[in-house]
Amino acid sequence: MDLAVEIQDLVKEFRPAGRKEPLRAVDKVSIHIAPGEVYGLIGPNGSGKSTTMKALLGLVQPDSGICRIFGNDSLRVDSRQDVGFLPENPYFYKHLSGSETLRFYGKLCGLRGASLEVRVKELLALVDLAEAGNRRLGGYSKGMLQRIGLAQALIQEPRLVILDEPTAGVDPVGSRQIRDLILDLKKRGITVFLCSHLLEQVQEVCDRVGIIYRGRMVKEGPIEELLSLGDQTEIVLRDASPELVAQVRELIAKDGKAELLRAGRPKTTLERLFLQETVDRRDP
Amino acid sequence: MRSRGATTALVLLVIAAGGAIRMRFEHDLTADFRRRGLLAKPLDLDMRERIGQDKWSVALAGLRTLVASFAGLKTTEQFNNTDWPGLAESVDTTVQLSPHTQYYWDIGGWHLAYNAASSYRYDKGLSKLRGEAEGRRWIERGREFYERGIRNNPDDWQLSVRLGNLYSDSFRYPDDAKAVTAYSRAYATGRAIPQVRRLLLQARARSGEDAGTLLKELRSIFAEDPNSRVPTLLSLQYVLEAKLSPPTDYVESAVKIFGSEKRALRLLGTYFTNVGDRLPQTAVEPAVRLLERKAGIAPEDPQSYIRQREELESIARIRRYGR
Amino acid sequence: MSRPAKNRPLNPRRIGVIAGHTFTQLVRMKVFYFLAIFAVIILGSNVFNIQDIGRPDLEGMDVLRMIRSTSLGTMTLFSVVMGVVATALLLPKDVEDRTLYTILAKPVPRLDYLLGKLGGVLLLIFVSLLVMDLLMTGVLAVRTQMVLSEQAARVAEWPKAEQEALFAEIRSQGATWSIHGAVVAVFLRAAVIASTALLLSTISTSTLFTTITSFVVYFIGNFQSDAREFFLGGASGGISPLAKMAGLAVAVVFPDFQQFNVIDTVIEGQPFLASDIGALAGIALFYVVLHSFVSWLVFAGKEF
Repeated sequence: MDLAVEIQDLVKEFRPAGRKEPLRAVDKVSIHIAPGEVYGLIGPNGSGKSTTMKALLGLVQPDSGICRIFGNDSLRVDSRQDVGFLPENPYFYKHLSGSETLRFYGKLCGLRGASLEVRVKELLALVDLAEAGNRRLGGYSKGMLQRIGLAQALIQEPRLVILDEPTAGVDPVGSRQIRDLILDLKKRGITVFLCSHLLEQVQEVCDRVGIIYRGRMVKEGPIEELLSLGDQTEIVLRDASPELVAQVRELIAKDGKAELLRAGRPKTTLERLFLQETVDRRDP
Repeated sequence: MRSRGATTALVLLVIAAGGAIRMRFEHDLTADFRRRGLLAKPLDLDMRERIGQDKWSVALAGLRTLVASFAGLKTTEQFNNTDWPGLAESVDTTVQLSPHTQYYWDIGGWHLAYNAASSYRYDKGLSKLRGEAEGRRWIERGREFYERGIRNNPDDWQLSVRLGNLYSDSFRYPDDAKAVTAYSRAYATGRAIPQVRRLLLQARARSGEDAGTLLKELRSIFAEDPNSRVPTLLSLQYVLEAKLSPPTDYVESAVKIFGSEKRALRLLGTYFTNVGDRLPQTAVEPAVRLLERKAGIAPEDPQSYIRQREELESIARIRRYGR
Repeated sequence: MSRPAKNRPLNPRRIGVIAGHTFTQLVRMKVFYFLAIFAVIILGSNVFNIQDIGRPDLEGMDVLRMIRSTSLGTMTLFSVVMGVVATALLLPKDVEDRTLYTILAKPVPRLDYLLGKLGGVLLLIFVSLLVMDLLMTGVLAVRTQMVLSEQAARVAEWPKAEQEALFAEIRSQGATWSIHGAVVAVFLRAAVIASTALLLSTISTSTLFTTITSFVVYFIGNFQSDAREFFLGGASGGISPLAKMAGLAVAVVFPDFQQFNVIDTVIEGQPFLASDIGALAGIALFYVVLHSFVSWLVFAGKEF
């Protein structure tokens, strides 16, 4: 079976005006996503996340390496049949209403007639915009725009959905709605490739994550594996008295082999990992 | 993936190839359009200056006719303000922008030769001599304007007729030989209305052509078009016949042409009093006198054509300058 | 490979979808308000009447001419400006708003996208010109009838042939087939300038640059034939080979817009043959195809 996403040794360089040597935005990045997986790509701004996604969508041409979607080369138009894309901060045509927007994108994918109408209704209901469907997008809130964008990405029932910062600038409630939608997609077996800054959210929904920094993939793996540190054991206590903690410390000290690394309140581990792997990294 | 340089080269190549393919075709089409008068020749530089820097680009960019229309409107305004030098410039602009619009030549020439000329001639601020000289100058300008229009539109019979009318005008230094040329040109286009042939004949009569030739032409006109038996031509027939062989009985030969004494008097009398027409009057006066006597009209009677002509001639003598 | 690949370029339905959408977009940008302005202009052109200057034989004819020239002039202005501005505006706007990403992320060949955009602009111009033509025809028909009846009263005494000649001349200043042909030529010219703007907008990313450059191209295009004749017109002495090559370059690169100025003489009453319109249509189609193809060459390699 074909991989949903196959990115192999992708290299993309830009030549900014006034600079002689090219800027390597993506440096030999490889990502493989199996069908049905939810994959999160995280990295600081300018690390090459968006470029990678654009290469996968054929919006930029790789300098070397390959990008495939379900086995189809990204540079071929046909590869787009199976993919839905929600860009970061999408601005759709403000002069169209929600349902008109979906109809437009549906027709671009070759849908028409009654089946298109059914699909539009279905999606409006899915993203909870059934009532706002006839309003022009000009009057939509940020969260609504993001949801209509997601609906648009799903119009032709793609097997892969690419989401670029799906919750950027959306309030916590809207953000939760989008998260639920992603979980819903996962349930229905749709492959999701997303990148986000909201690490907590990535942690919540993704099966696997990759961390990209300065154009390189620095860490990748199933989220469980990445976050569990093999040689460490975490004991989380509730209502522990200082005495008890002191006793535990003593026990550890007696063991001779084990070492207490820290004791205190647990942090969002992904965030720590993220920082450790990116901005706190020693060797660039 | 193509490099940027390769793309640029390819783009330039395709554009150049496309340009080369179309060049011949466009050249031929433009030549064809120019030949058929559908495309005007490029404006000359002087013109571009005249319409003004801001307007010539507009005039070229597909709005030539519109600019001409507005220049035409300006003409009317200048006419109302008797701004003749300005008007001369505006009419020139209209015809340069729109050289195949007969209307602009027609109205332009008419403004120059009639309106502007009369305005100067009767300008109280000018001395009589100066006014006459100015008037004559503007009449000449009008004639030149018409001539130019005809050169630009050789197939247009109407402009030639207007020019013929202008050359025949008794108040505008008539030149009958040139009028004949103008009417002939109109007639030669083969499109002119039947009246033009009659106008040509009248001009020839004025220029003093041989009566026999004219009469032959007149008969041919009558034979071809029964509608052409208009009063002026009937009267002219009488005159030409009288020229060839002076009538022994004026009334009889008039009645032969006009049908009755009453009609003969009315039509011949009108012909007689039409001073401005300057048509030959051989044997007309005696016929009118005899017919009036028979009708019981005394020469002093206000109804008398004899008296009317005398009055009209004295008026005309005051108004007419050149001869 | 899982699904049948059916996404060949030049899919008419997909181009139609994008064209229809572009049309809607422009309509909702209130472009049709211009039609109201046109209506005012054409009604206004009615009042430019030369009042009583002592030439009853020309009475009313000037009004017909004025209606024709202002109508066609306004159509020219509208179609050229629309062809340039709308085309120059829409492409960069899609890039800026990132709506282009969402479209190109669908199975839409880039050529189809370009043709759709151009098609939408042309559809809008076509519909607008159609409405304007109908308005003009209506006003001309009414005015021609008025002039005819005025003149008929004046020349009632004239012989039939002379009357007919006059009436024919008046009618030739009214709503003739040739004037509709001129409107078609206006459209064709707009198609050429719009495709030029499309090409320029794939090269540049700034709307302002595209707009200005397109107008410059349009104006140069009105002289282009001079350059061409300079190159083709016999090797008369005194012209350096360098100057000749410059003439060739201008002739090859810039579209010839002057040939569309036949519109002017048609307004003046010259007959416009169907074959002439056909020749112009052929040339316009050639330009549109050429410019679209070159646009695609540039656009296909573009990264966003």
